[in-house]
Amino acid sequence: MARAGRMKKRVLGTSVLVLIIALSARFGFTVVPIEQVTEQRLAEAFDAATFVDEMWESRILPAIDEAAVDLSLVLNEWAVGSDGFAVTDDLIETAQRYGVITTGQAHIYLVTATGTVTAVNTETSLGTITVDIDGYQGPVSVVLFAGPRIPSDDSSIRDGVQFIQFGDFRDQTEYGRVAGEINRRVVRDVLEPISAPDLLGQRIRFTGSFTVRTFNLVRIDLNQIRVIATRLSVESDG
Amino acid sequence: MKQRFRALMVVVMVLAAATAFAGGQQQSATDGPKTIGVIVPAVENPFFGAMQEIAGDKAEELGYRTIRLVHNDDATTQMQQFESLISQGVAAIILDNAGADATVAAVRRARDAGVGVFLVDREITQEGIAQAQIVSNNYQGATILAEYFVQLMGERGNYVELTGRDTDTNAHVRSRGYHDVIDQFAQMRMVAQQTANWSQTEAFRVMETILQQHPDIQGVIAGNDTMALGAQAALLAAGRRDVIVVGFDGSDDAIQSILRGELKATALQPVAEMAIQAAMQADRWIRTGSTDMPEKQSIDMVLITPANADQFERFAPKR
Amino acid sequence: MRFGKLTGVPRTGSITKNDVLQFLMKGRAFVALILVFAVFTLLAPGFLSVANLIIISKHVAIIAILAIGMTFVILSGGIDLSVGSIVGLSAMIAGGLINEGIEFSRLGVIVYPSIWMVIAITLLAGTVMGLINGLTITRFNVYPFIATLGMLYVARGLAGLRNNGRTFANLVGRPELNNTGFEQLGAGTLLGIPYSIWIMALFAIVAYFVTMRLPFGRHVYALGGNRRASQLSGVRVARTETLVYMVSGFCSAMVGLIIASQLVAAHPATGVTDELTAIAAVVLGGTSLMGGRGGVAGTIIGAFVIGTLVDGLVVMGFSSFLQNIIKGLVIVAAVIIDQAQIRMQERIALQSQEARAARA
Repeated sequence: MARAGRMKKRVLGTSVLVLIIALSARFGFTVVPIEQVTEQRLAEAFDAATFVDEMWESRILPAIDEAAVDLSLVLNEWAVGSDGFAVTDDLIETAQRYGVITTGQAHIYLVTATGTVTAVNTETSLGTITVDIDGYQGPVSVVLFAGPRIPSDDSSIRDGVQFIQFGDFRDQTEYGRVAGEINRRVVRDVLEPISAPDLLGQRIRFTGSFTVRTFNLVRIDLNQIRVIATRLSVESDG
Repeated sequence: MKQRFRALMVVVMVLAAATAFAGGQQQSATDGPKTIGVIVPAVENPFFGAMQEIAGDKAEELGYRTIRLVHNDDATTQMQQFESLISQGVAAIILDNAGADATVAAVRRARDAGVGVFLVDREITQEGIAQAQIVSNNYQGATILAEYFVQLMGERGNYVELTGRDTDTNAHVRSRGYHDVIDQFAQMRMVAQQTANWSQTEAFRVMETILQQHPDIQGVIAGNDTMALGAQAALLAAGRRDVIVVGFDGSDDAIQSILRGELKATALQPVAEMAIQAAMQADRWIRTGSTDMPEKQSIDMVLITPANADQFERFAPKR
Repeated sequence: MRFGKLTGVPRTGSITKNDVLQFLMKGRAFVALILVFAVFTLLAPGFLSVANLIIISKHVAIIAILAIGMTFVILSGGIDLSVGSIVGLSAMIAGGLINEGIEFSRLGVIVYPSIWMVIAITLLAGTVMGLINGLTITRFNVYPFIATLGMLYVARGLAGLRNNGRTFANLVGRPELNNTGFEQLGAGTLLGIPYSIWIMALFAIVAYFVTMRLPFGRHVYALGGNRRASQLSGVRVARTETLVYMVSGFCSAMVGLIIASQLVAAHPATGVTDELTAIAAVVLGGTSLMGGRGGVAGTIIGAFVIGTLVDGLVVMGFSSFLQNIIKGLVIVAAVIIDQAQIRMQERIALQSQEARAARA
């Protein structure tokens, strides 16, 4: 009797278990093809290149062209000591008039200028073109990035156009990668078509942007400003 | 059972008396100064210690009472502290959070209770629930540092990366920033990547081991200063003064090391500025209902090199 | 209670000094709880509001559920150092199931379990971790301290490995995958009281019943009281001991689920050092670390003491250093009283024996 009872119990227990498993297998799971999920993930993942592609021609370049001020105006207004250094307070008024001050207290300028190329340096990947700016004789030396790289931390275009806001991104990495991607775009579209060494001695016209970092700095080094050129052309003499 | 019952009765009576007493007291709590909670990961780390002290002192200077807590990077503790502070009726919370994703629920809880949250240093992955996110731009700091590191290395060579604690959002952000720059150089070869959990002693040990396997390294890039200092110590002990080591944070120890000619660079965290901004924006929000600022504010990091190291102290420019 | 019966203290009509002392000592967790509440109520206005009591209970629930599992282990004379890590691993398992499902690359499909299945699978996983603890201890004769220490590292490592140290974020599921609603476990309420408190109550009642009424409960006590004797009297020692760790693993998984749900995110460092808090609650509640003595009721009170202490110190704005010092002192003081109580009971037992001998 006892054994039969135990048998009965065991059979009952097993069948209940099987029933639970069967029910949960039927209703407890949702099956989705892998491709569908990967597609969805790809669609949701942020891609800096796509983001920049979508607005480079249509919004970024026009914004810079429109807002660009004459670089010599900015340079002439700056109170720079003979050693090439300035004090932040002396720069704020100029930045408010001609540029943008970010929440990180960086001064961003969108500028345009003409000048003569006096030196070309392509020793490192961060090549530069030194330009003597028309209408300015002072301690600040102006260089344009010549490629093949522009520093990834230089976010002057992203921050200068003002419509690419930190708050629109998931995190600082996505936000930061947009700056890097814009700089790669400049290298590809603006710098690669030209041969920097050939520019030596030529008169050029350019439009672009640069950043003066003032945050947490006691004295601002203005011996050199480094401009990312979004348009660069050789001026025909005459 | 009888004893248990008697004990239970005592508890009930005491609780009842205390509730009555507390009810009488509650009135006075709302009359006094408003309270701001200041929560940071751990005060043992001078970075967070300074942050809490500066933010808390600024809030008190503005006329608030402060409750200062640490969550030790534990999102559960953080959530519980939020709930306790909310039920105590704080007006605002200044927080250096315990994880970009794991903090969202706690901030939402505060928002729902009408408590303003002012995030400093680290961001969260959702917008529109905190009053402000005053973010130390670690990605920018990492790229500016990596650019400098690559130039010091002459754009080529073998290097080692020491990463922070795997579970820390910033460890990943910094590492991504480093690689977004360094990986553009085909001749920069990472021979080892190891975590040293932000720790000086662990970095020392890890570096010693790596040196055995890869004596042919020219550079070490670390996720923070303490790891950089640990690695530097191991390299010096092995007589390798030639290896370029860079850190991250801008702590006084790292700055001293740079001035001694050991570490080559670090990126300075804007601790003081973020802390003061947070307290001031919290005050403005409490008084006027608005901070007059965008929610997400990126504060840049400053590259510190032998050229400017003597100008900084306690995460800020010397006065 | 149990111990009182065993030592057979003679009941007399009058209350002696010994009785009062014994009562105070026995109920020391209670006394501590009353003290803690009284102090914070005086110092922090609003501490005893209903809303705040609910929040405290919610925080206590996490400690208490872990401590209930730990009570079984400690009663059996063992220790489980792996609960914090199992909490973390369980959170990551649940988070992964919700956000990523289970991938069958051979079949080209991903299977997303419903929330009930996520909970079931996670609880099962926690229980299996406990089973592994138990088998390591019973089959390979490894000390519980060592076996669960090993699991502490392994489970924490697995938790990190699951998503490479990253958090599973925003665990709200998707309607088209039929896996929404996970956040309800942490945020939902029944009669105005959060689910986690109900779960704690349910676990406590079941555990109390199991320890007091079921053979398994008696075996656990017997095992902790005298292993050899219980073996000789027919208790299946290995089976009981293994089950005890499975209970602990199950409780840990429950806590992992609750925390992940409350945070709506699963972080691999969830639950670090929670095992120590759980042990503290058990010890504070009067369960002897040697096993065989104590119980679930005391553990719940112990958990309340620690939880209330932590919340109160937070509200008071005590620094974390002071919080740790106070927590440590309270735990050690509780054990000192525990020891004193044992000695006193022995003395009383001895006295009554002598008295009986004298009478005879």
